[in-house]
Amino acid sequence: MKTDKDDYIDARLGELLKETLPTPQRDPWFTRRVLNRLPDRPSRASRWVTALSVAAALAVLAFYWRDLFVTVASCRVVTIGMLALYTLLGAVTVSVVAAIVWPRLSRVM
Amino acid sequence: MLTRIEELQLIARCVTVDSRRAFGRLVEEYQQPLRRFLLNLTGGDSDLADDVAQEAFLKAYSSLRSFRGCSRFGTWLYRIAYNEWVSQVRRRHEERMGDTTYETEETHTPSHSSDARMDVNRAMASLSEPERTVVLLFYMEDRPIKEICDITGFPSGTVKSHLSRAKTKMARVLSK
Repeated sequence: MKTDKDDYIDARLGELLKETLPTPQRDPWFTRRVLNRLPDRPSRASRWVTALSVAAALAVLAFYWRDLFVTVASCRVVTIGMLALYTLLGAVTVSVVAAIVWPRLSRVM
Repeated sequence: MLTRIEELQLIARCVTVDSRRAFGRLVEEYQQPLRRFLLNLTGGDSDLADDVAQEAFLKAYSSLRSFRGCSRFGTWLYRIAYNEWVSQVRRRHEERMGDTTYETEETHTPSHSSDARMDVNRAMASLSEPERTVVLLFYMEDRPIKEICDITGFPSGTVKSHLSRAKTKMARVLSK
């Protein structure tokens, strides 16, 4: 159990260490050096290219999904070929969406 | 000094929009206490202390997404810095690092008699590396036992026994 004497010794020892041990001055260049060593950010151009690629991929997928729905609605029979096409389109959609969402999700997690 | 909310806002900006300015603000806030802790941990080697502090900030930046906000950013940063220091010690062979003498070059030392400074340096040099860490965190950085446990990963009983042993050793050296 801590006594008053312990508290006094702790306080004196704390004072002594603070008075005698060295304290570095605030160094404005230290912050600059740290910031200069941070990993590069993606450039503005590459961000635009990524955004345009994502938009193009989503547009192409939307077009094919719409086309597939129109085809299925117009003919009454669903063939194996159509099912295969659905599956393929589904897989492509999932991978595109995952490629868009995953980096953002992993940044937050 | 930043409040906890301000700290969390800065961290959120770093994580969501990769704001370098926000991270710079955090570095600005914590550089002096962290460099002081490391300077005294390294026995006064300011170059080594600054290297370890820089590495700690870089590691903190790259793993900022894993910061859960359960503790203060400072505690988390000190833990990274301490782990970095421990791995540096391992790399540079512990026995050689233990022999470091306290230097006070290029640092601000409050006016105090050089005898007292030498006594304190001798007392600090007499401590083992974990004891010195615990003493610095407790007396210099005013960290409570719980935070020292978070930083060093020692159980609270070990922290308390390191503190008690360190006090005895320091008292012996200082009373000579």
